[in-house]
Amino acid sequence: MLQSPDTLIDHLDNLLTYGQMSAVTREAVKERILGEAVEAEKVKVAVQTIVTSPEFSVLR
Amino acid sequence: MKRRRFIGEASCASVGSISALSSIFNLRLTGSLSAAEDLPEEDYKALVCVFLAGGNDSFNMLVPYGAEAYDQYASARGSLALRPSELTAFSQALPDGRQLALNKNMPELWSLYESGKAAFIANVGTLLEATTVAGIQAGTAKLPLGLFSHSDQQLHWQSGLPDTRSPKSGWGGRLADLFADLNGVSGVSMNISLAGMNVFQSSGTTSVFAKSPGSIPGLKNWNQPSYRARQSAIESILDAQYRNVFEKTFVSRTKEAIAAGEEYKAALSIAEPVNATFTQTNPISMQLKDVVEGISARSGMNKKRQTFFVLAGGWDHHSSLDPHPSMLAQLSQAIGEFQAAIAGMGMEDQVTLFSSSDFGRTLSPNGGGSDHAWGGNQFVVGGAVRGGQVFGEYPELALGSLLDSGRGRLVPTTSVDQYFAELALWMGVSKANLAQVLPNIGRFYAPESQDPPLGLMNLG
Repeated sequence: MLQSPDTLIDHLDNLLTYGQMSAVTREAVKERILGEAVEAEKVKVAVQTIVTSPEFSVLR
Repeated sequence: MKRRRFIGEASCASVGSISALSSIFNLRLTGSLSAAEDLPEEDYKALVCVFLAGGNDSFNMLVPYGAEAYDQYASARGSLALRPSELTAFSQALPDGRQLALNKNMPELWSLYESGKAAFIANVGTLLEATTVAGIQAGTAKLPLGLFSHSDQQLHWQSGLPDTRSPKSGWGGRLADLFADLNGVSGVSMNISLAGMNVFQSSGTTSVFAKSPGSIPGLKNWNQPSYRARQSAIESILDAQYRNVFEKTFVSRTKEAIAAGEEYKAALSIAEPVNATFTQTNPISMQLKDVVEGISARSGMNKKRQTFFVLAGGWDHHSSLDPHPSMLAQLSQAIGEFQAAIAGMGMEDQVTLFSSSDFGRTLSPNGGGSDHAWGGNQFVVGGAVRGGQVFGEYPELALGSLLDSGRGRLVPTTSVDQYFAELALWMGVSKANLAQVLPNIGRFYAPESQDPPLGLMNLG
């Protein structure tokens, strides 16, 4: 999953934003994952970014 | 929106701000006429609310000292009564000849009172209307809702609306709404809290800027190079368009909060540093230190008017009054340090600190402590206060007195509305607009009257 950012994002979308993640958030998360060199840190920066999004906080 | 309603509301809004502004301009003119040689004082004012949560046992703070009145107090309070050696008498008696004293653990407040920079308001509390014990016993009196409940009374003191248990705004929030035009453009609220969200400073349009004492406002790493990747992600998410109302609000509030924090941080960095002592171990001092910093940062935030909210808890002394003296000592120390800092900035006439509390406490003991009551004593500190006096009517402290509604729960003889009306007028609210800040004021004071509500403040 760490090899493919999109798969990771889909998985986190399922867990954290109920499949509601917006394109903008997805893009921001992808950039952070790709920009993070340390593999172990990739998940952390992805989650960090998702929890600042309104889709995470607003339950629909 | 229908045209008529728009015109109606627009003209109401403009009448509101014009009246507030006209009173400010009048004050400015008075200032320049009476001090032709001097530079006019900066037209800035701040109100600092010190909320004593839990209900301060304030008849052990401001205490009778003369023989007869003291004996009456000692008899009513039984095991809770302070000995004369635990009191510091004021040098001047009240106009009716009675002598009062302050709990001896408050030397700073005592000095401020003696030097004319502090005053007390006696037996003040929440009222729906002038109330008597007879009316209560007959069941005809209209009483504040949730009369002896902490949460309700705290709301009533903060909202000035004792006929509701869910106020939509506080009187400080309504004050900020009125002064919105006077303060310049800024993302930081006129109302700053060192104790979190509170009803006093909130309204439909005014939000509270809350910060923790001793912290630098704003996100710690914002605009730092090390944070760049994270900040860029956050910014792109917050700058996107959202259709869902909750998501839109979440995003705009977050952006406002981040911007406000940065603005406050920048305003502090260009402010005159505060050269004053504040005791680190005194949590009230630490909050008041932040208040002084917030005042020093006023120009960077374009503020002509500010309110601050400070809270000290732990006053609900049901089981024992033993902690009370040292709590009063801490409170007094903090006020002394605050006032010294303000004096050092030459701003004594522009800053007024005032106390509030849920209620006073029962005169009679419940064993080791005292229970929830009603009327109590509050204090106000500042250069604009007509100090060295006790306003309102200091009551007879006897069980079964005319004011005793049971167990020494005294019916207030001055309402919270009258107390706060003085502060609102001092801040520059015109008499015509007083009811916008304190909707029930008409029940206690006729704004068209030539006299002030209490005479507490120098209303220039």
